[in-house]
Amino acid sequence: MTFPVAPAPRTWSPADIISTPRLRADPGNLAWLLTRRPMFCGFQVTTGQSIPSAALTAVQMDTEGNDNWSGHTNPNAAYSPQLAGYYLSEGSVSYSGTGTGGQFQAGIKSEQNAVATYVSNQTLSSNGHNAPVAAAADLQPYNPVTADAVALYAYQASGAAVTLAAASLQAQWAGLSSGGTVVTSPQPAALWPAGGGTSVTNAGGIAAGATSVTVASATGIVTGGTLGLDYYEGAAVQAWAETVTVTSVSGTTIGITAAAYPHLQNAPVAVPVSAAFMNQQVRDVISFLAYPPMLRLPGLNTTQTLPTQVFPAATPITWPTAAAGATFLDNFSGWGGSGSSTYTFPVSGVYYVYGQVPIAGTAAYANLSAGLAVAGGTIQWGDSVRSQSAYPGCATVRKRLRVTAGQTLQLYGSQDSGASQALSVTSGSPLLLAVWQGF
Amino acid sequence: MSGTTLYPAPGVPAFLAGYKPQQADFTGWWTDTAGFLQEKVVFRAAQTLVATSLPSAGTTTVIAFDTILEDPYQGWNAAALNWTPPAAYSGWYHVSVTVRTAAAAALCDLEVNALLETGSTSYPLCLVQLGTSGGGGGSGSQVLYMTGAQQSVQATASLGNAGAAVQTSLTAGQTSTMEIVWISQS
Repeated sequence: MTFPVAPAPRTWSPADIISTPRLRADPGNLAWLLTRRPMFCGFQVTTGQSIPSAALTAVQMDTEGNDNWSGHTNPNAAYSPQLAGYYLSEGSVSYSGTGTGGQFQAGIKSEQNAVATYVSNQTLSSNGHNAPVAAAADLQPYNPVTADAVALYAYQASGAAVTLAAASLQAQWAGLSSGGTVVTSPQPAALWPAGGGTSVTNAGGIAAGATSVTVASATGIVTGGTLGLDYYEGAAVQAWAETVTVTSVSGTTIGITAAAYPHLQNAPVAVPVSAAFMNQQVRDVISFLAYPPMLRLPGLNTTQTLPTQVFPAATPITWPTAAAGATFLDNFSGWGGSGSSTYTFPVSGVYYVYGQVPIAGTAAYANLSAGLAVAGGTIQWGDSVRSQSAYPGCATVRKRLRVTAGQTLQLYGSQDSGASQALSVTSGSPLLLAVWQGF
Repeated sequence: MSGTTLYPAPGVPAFLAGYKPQQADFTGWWTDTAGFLQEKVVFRAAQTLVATSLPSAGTTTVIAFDTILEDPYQGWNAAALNWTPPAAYSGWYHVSVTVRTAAAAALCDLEVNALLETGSTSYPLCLVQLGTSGGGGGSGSQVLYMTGAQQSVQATASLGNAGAAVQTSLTAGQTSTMEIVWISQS
């Protein structure tokens, strides 16, 4: 079975022929890739895996819901992505039994270039009545050339082995990890030029020297493209037919390089499929969908503390410069830099956003919460959980937010233990993820 | 670019060698597919008007979202409290749920699930000890395959070790939410 390849769309030049092989290689490949996005969806249903106390343990997946690029073998824990890129991974670990205490955890294990990294996510306390179900999420790059893999892991510190009731792991290709092109002003998909072109609608036509023309339809007209004034279907219909370059498009008012000749009202205007149109509607559409805005802010070296506060009073999480070895991703440069708490959304649309606020441990029980705020507005809260005294805890939040370019994002934490608490950097660390998912 | 344009379900174009295409050909081959991949199918809902009471007995209860933030493909059923992808849009969907409650007594647990119908398969998203002051909440995600017009998803929650019922929260910023985005056809 063949598969699509990592998109690397060509830049079109005026002399390029729009050939079938080129169309298959670029838009055909991208359509194939994103309608059959590399993804894995697995479950632990039958194994009943035993998780020893105080040991990071990869969780087996004995049942596949989807493995469309064949990167997993039952009942292995690891999924080996077959296409290089960033993968958004999520999962859950359902513990069983009534062990009490803290630190029932789920996390994502990434094996990259033979180096294993464990990223702890939701860390919960058990009250001895119901076993916790902890959730995990991460955004990491994987490359099949170096046999990279992702797995869900479990960790619990109850003092005895605990059996899993169930588990799930999902991983989906989110975008290229290298070679991507940032398209800061992506354009919506537009109709290709009609074969018959359009026509001049200016009352009285346009004069020689005109640098603007109004047309009946702007379909297919893009800045940098070419128009054929008094051309119809590629043929000159008047002796004064000429080509001009489009300098701007505003509705049906088209800025052009100065016309050498006058052209009458209703004169035909040919709209060829220009290189500029191909670059906007093929190259840039592909580039943006293959390399959308993505963010991974790790707080592995944070020294921030959370003051004790009465919920919903909260403190924004600030992000230090990424520690050596930590995966840092900000491909559209939206983060405010070292010490900043804000990420500025670069492109409007719907974003998947995940954040986690871990504390190292409290001397007393604490209520721990994580939330997100857009443009300094009302914090949208996720988890508000009871954190066990003396144990680490981690609250998480995940939302799909519809935002406008330029709006900011902040992750907030709130805890009421009665004393200031340090953010954890060992049993998990602060983490903020964002992935553009649609206009 | 507002997520309101409805495109046909995407397809892999079959560019034909030696064929002189018209505008309509490229619309079918690329424009519609690119448009769909740019906008996808998105659903977002919140519970802001009427709270759901979660019984102390631990009964699994469907969260009654009552504020639809966006649903351009009109898959939400307000009576059944579920969301169904439209026919021809079968595929894998990424479902994220947050359930928020009023403050609960100590040692009270909240379990949040995504319930896939038909078949009533429940996927656990999280089970947390609720906060005891200011409110509680848990969140999680699951990827699900849903057949267009035939399968739907609900958000459900239940309490554990609860001595009394707990209401879901309607406080701004502390409401329950569900979001769904199309990921892939296969």
